[in-house]
Amino acid sequence: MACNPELVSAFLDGELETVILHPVVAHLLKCDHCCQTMGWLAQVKDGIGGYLWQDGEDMTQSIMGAIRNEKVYSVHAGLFDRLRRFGVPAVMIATALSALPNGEGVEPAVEQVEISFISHVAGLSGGEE
Amino acid sequence: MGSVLMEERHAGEVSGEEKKATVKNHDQILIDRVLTGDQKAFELLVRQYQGKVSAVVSRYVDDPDKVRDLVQETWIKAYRALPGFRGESTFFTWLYRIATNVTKNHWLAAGKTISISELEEDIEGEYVLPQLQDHETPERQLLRKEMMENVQAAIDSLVPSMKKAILLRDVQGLSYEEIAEVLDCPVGTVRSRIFRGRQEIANRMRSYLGERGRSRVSGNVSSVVSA
Repeated sequence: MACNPELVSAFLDGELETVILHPVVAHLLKCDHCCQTMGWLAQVKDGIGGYLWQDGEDMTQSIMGAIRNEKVYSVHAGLFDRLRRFGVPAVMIATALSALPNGEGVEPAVEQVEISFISHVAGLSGGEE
Repeated sequence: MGSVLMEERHAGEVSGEEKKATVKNHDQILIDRVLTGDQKAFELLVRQYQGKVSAVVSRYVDDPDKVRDLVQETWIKAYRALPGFRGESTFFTWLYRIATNVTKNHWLAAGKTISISELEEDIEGEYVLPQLQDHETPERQLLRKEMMENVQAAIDSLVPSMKKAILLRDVQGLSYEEIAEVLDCPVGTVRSRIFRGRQEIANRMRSYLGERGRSRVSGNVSSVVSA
């Protein structure tokens, strides 16, 4: 399938019929040009809708760089540091963080994480004793 | 390229009973690919929704660098949590919740509170309706105002049929089929008008889209013209 920005625009709107949807996705996944076209079309679409944002390409590259570099576990770095300051062993924190739920769309607020963490650590400590 | 369009339009006419895939289907195809380890599919989701995520965060955070950090953190969390996405809501609704929690946590970590109801009442399905922030600096308010005036001028410069199609889609959120009914024209014409309208607006907004965006827009103009 050749590059077709009009279909990319329709994809962005969720308006492609089933018969063409899979070929367009397959093309987008292998064509950097159309992938970037989708980016600027999204910028324009959001601008028309009332929110014009800039540096879209830079932000995309920054996000994907973090994903590729497997920095994903750094998201809990703040919590990790705070708990370390209370003298909690790093291994225990890592174990507890890895056990935190990643529920659908329900990323816990910090205080909820801490309550969950404390309960978890209390459970671990109890078991060891 | 033209022949592909014709084939697609023809296929659409022949298979009239074919159900139109929804935004949810579109996203789910990409999500399924991400779960098999395809990071390019995740990049497509990022490109599609990073502006909306940025809109959510920037309503409550003034510092542009911090907004950028929080947007990135939202996406990293989303990437990690994606295996838990069950498709009960749209991808953007799910992403919106992550973004609001990241924003909340940012304020909590700074020892400040933000009204949860204030954050949560913003959600309106696919669309976020960003507004000017009261706490923006005068310079940023001026820049934003100037940018939005340019967008409005670009929309106003479109031929009426194109302008109507664009506004019905991007402002009122009508489907292509509904727009086709309103404008009394084929769905393929609606799709074409919307794309060409966005393209013309992009060309008038070059200075706001960044260097890479500018060259990208130019590239697409030439590719469309040559087609």
